[in-house]
Amino acid sequence: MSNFDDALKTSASAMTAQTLRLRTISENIANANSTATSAGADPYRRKLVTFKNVLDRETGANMVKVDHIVPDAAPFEMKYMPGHPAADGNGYVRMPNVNPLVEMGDLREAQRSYQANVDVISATNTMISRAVDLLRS
Amino acid sequence: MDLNNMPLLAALTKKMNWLTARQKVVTENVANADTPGFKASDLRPLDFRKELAQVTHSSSPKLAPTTTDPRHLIGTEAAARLDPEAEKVTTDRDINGNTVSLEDEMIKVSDTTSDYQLMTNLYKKQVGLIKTAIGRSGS
Repeated sequence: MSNFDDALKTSASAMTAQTLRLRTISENIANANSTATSAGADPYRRKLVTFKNVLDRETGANMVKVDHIVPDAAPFEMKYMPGHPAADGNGYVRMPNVNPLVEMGDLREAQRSYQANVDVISATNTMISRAVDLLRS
Repeated sequence: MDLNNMPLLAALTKKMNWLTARQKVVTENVANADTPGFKASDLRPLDFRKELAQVTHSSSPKLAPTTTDPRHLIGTEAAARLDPEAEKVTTDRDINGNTVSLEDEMIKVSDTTSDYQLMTNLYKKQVGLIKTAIGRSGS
């Protein structure tokens, strides 16, 4: 059974990692218009998730973990809004470096990976129940 | 009676162990489909025909692991030599060095599941035959 258990654990770790990625993406989308409140301050900076492969010493399974959540170094977009409290001397406001289109693409990718892991779990479960069914023959 | 002393059942068990080990490897590939630098791996294919011939046509059926070095330990499980082997790098290699193709892996998952089902069904049939032979109604 240990191989089955390892398979289930590995899928679960990947699902946890993808969920954290999904959370970061939703934070980015939610804050797509979060500007600073005072002139000169930075607006919301987009966050990125990196994954890493971790060998579980106990079971020897290749688990997935979120390595780091890193800020995106891309420059902020400037928008002309002279009346805004965060506007600089020329009337420009720094907007977050979030591109909703890119976020939606990432979201879809995370969703697909999550789905693939769910499918693998249900396939593994089918195999386990087949093995258990041998008792009934 | 140990059912694994019967050659056919032993071979079926071995194949089931192999399929379980493969399921684990494929799961790891799917789980790491977004991990940068991860290399997809697969198990060396099990030649079921050969295994079956080995257990049915030899006088002493053996399913012990083959040792290529005197320092190798002989495992207690027949599946002991099923070490994952690195697969060839496919053409659709990501820019981050990941070589997992989710489509291929999903095909492998369904292959493994249906093969496993085949093995359990064969096992059931064989046990049913034995039950018939000993005078109980086999399923």
